[in-house]
Amino acid sequence: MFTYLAHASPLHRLNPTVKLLTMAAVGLAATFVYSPWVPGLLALGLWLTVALVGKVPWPRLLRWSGYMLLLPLPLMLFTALYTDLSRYPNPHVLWHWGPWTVATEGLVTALALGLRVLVFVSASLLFIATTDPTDFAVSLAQNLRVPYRFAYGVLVAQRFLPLLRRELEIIRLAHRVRGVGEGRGWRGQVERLQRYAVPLLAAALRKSQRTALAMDAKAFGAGPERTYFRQMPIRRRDVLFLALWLAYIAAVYAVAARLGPLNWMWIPE
Amino acid sequence: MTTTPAIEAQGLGVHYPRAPEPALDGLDLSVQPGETVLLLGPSGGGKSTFLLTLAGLIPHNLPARVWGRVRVLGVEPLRERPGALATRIGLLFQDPEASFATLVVEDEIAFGLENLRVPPAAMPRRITAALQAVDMLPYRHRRLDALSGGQQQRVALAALLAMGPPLLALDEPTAHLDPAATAAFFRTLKRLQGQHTLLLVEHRVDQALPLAHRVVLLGEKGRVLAQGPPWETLRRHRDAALAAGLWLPAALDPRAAWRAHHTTPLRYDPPAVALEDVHFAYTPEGPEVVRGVSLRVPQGDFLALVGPNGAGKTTVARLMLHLGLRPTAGRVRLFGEPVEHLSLEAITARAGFVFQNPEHQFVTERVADEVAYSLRARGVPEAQVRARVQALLRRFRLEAHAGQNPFRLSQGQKRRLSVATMLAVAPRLLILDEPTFGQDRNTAYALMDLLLELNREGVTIVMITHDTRLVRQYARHVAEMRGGRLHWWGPAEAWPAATRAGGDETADKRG
Repeated sequence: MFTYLAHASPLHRLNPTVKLLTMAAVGLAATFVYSPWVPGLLALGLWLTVALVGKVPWPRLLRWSGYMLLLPLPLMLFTALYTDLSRYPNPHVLWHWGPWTVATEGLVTALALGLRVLVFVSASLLFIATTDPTDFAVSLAQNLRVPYRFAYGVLVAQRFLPLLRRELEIIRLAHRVRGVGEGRGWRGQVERLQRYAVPLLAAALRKSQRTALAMDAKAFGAGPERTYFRQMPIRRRDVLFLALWLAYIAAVYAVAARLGPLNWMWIPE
Repeated sequence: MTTTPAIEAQGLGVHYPRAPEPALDGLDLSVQPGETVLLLGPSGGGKSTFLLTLAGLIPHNLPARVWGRVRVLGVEPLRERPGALATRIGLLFQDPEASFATLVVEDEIAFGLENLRVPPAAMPRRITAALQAVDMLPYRHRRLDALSGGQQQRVALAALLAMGPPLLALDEPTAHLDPAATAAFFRTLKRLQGQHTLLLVEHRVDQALPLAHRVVLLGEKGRVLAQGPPWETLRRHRDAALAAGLWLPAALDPRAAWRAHHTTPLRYDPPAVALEDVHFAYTPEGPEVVRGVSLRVPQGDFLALVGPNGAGKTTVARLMLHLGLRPTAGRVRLFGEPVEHLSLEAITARAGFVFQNPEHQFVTERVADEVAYSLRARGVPEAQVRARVQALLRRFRLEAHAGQNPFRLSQGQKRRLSVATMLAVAPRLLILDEPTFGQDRNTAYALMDLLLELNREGVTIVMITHDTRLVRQYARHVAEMRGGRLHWWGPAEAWPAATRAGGDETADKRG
């Protein structure tokens, strides 16, 4: 759904590790408060950053925004219907039908949860869409001192996913042409997966073994250290990006605190 | 003057864990610096195992029991730590895509340098030199998955050259390349000969032989049958080479002059397949992969569908049966009926499609069940199923393996099984995607003879292939694709020269 977009933007030029930590901070800031204002303003900030600083083309951004808004809907619906209203002294019931009661309190909780999911998705989108996978792997090794074998594992996995998808598509067609009907319902799905699993696993194992051998033949893993063609230093602009986001988070908390309590459910008068 | 041999092996043996027999036993070989040695041997005969042992990958990275003596430029790979051989011997594999560790051309070249702990400042110059040596400098910043197969293989070669090994070992480097890319790859190798010792494993003897100083014929388990000057050695040991299933240069192959005599009557009322101005693109905005192909394949034809990688051959073949794809414009008729009006069952009853990799098509755990599958899925009575399976297994020489797991068959057996499964429901049309890929001479000819026999019984054959020799020998008509268009169509004997330069170099790798 969301993929890396290989164009030039200030977000692309940031150090991947700093970018990842900043997005983690934004995610955390949305985790521990119940006020819908905090995740709402954070999501808005992320969206504006992706659009204006990340230079994601408008048609794609609008399509992605559509997905992002749809994603939390099931969770929100569930929350709106099943919020435990006994915690509130006198809930503002709006609508009552059979076992379901919809109250203002439930709707606000649903909104807060939905916006929180929206923040997580937006932060992931910002990182994925603007981070070159190779830069990320190198940055993990250089900045976070992650063992380089692991960092390269991340990179090789990136390369393998499209290969395996292509393999799966061919296997699917090869089975279709045997006259094997596409089974219906979930039973059909399970049967089909079982049939695809063996050839797909065989292909994946063979491919990954070949890749490992080719890497080893080029002295990968020969020593505890290696050098890097790409350099991922932490520059002033990276620190500035982190600082600006921390300041924004603080400002969002301040605004939200003026509009209502931060750490418990907003109860209308 | 004594020089250290580039390669020295004495009584070398390798036994993989859990394998019933050793892969190599008693291999003796010596290669001098500057030599180009062509290694010929039966498939599964231990050639790849030998190269992996030279590079120290066996036993350090791929466990196996190793005995005997082996030296590479004076050092013993068995005693060195893993990776220590990388500056002495560069190992090139068959499938470039599976050998890449990175996503971009210059990162891939830098990868080996990084492992050798070359300072970053010294890298750009070495990357430039390596890319120049394989004519890939303009592609420095491209993504690897956007290159054609031939370009990918040259980048993989450059990645080895950057590390500066005097010895290059190449394991069927052109197996996945089309004739034009193969020719380009051999031109690159020819330039490298001066400064490098080359050990080449290759089935394409016609192209490889002119490069070789010496030919080594390997038999079972890597025993050297014969070695010496290329032509003389092959001429003298022709019978042994044929018995081992080796591909021989056209001038020495007893079947080279042979041509199938086609007598099957051709019927155009209706043709087996008719494409009318067919277009195809993967996405509405994307480029067209097939750009207006019109082609009629008469019933009883034996058609070779040829052309460079990425020309749209496989796409056209799939469009013939609406196999996961539908034309964006144009019409396809199968035995006179529009394909879009036919159900999947109706299509597969009329036509079979054999994929490049036979393993992709296996759906059961027994060879006999595999052949029976399509029949049982159609509710054919079990007595009839058994009789039909018996007959097919006999015809494809698989009776002895009826109870075996299809994945455990040899390459040749797997291929025969994948064709047999397609014939269970007796289709009138058989489409095959590179059916002889990776097969040795004997299994390839056995398969081609079977296809010819089927053709004589009235089955229309459409075969995608890069093997120009087989095209000339077996095909009745040739359809050549270039850049999504039908470039040439006509009787096989009128088909112009086989290897022509260009074509592949700018093509996208999708087809």
